[in-house]
Amino acid sequence: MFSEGQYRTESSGTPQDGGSSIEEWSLSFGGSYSFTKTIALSVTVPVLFRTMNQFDLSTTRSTNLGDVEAVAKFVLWRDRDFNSRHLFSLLGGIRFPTAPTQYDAQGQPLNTDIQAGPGSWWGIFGASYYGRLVGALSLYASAMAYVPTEGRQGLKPGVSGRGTLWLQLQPWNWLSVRVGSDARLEGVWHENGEVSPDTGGFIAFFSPAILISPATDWVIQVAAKVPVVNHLTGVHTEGTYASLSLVVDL
Amino acid sequence: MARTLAARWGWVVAAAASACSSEDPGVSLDLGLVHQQPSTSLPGLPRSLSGPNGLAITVTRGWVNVGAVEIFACPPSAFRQLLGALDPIGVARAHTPGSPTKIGVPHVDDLARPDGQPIDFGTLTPPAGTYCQAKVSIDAADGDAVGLPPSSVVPMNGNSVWIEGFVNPPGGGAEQDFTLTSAVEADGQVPFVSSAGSASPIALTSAGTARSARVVLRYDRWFDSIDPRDSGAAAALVSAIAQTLEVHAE
Repeated sequence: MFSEGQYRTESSGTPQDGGSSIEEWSLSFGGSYSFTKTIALSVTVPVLFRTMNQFDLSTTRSTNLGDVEAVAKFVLWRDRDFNSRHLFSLLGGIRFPTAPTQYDAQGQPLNTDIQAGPGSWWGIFGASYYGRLVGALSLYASAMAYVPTEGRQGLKPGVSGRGTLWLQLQPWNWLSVRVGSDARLEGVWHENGEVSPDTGGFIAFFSPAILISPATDWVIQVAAKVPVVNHLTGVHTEGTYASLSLVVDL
Repeated sequence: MARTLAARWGWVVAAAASACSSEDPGVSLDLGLVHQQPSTSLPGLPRSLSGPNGLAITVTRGWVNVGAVEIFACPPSAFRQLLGALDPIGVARAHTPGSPTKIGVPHVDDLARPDGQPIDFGTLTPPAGTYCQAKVSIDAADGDAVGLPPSSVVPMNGNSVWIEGFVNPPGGGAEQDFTLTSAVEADGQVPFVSSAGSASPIALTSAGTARSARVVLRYDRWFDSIDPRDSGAAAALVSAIAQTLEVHAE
């Protein structure tokens, strides 16, 4: 079972085209269960607290359930059954359009940027590798594709590919240090058949983290994602992500 | 223990996901469209006007299509221009027809309406700033124009103006009817003024500020130098309408 609190910022657009900036706190809860040695399922339920500021000085706040995500992991190959040093897995899942549409006092849908989800079903496909390298050093790599259907109000998110590469050093049982990179390549979004400006593109983050295990089966993680390469399309930036998470093995 | 923990997390998710939103308004500018002259206020048609060389002109039917209104911020001070020039980070200055500073929904003004009675042209939510000027476009009406009269009344679709009336020559003689129609388009870029005619920039600089302004068609000045019997009078009239309009800050 796990829970994660995360903070992030994002801005897109210009004063002339109705741009906005988003500040988001999210709280995700979830669980992961291994049915067998080769099959596991994890479910994540996010709750989003968003504040959107626009150049006309208006502020919109929203608290809402986000899109629930369920991902199954199938271990395709491992070097040995017990205490494996190499694991290669396939990943597949669905992100559900569970974020309800939010409306203003006049009954009009709020700006799509403040909605907690686009109303799309997402197919999730990918693969991951975990390897224990020399000594206390391990490596994790994954590549995932998110393929959406058309969402609500004519909104069609872009297909995205996400990559992760982490190196983790665990000098003691109670402490690990991780460095790595997360990257995302995303197609442009469309709204009613028209290209939505300032969407899509590529962004890569430097992703350091510290993991502390204060007790057996408990892990606390403090992590950040610092954008280092920003080739997002148009006028679009993402700030540093900061997160604090707790994992409990029940 | 596990069930208790899971149940507690479930309650936290349910409580956090109770959807809610709130909005704090930003700045806005409500635009109206009127026709009027300063000295009198007429309830409708016919309207008696003065032309060149003492020409007495009576308008018996008339429509004008205002296609778009766009507002412009006051020029930055020299100090701000200097700061902008020194800014190493370039800012894209995109512009789109549907921008927060422009309403592009055409409205047809019927001169049969009473003087000073505004048509609601729409509300802008522009970037915060102080606005000095507006550009008003006299365009050919399309089928979606608000207030477009039925074609059985007048074929206004495709025309910028449609003015009918008659002329009484200065030296006497029979009335001479005229009909001026044109698809010619013209813009007028004018400063915001008070009802007394002095410059009156509109400050939209603090959240919650809601101001209004009126685009004024000064029909009493349209024929100052146009004889409606002349060839080319219709196109000249469109130009005169654009050149004589005013935008009153309220």
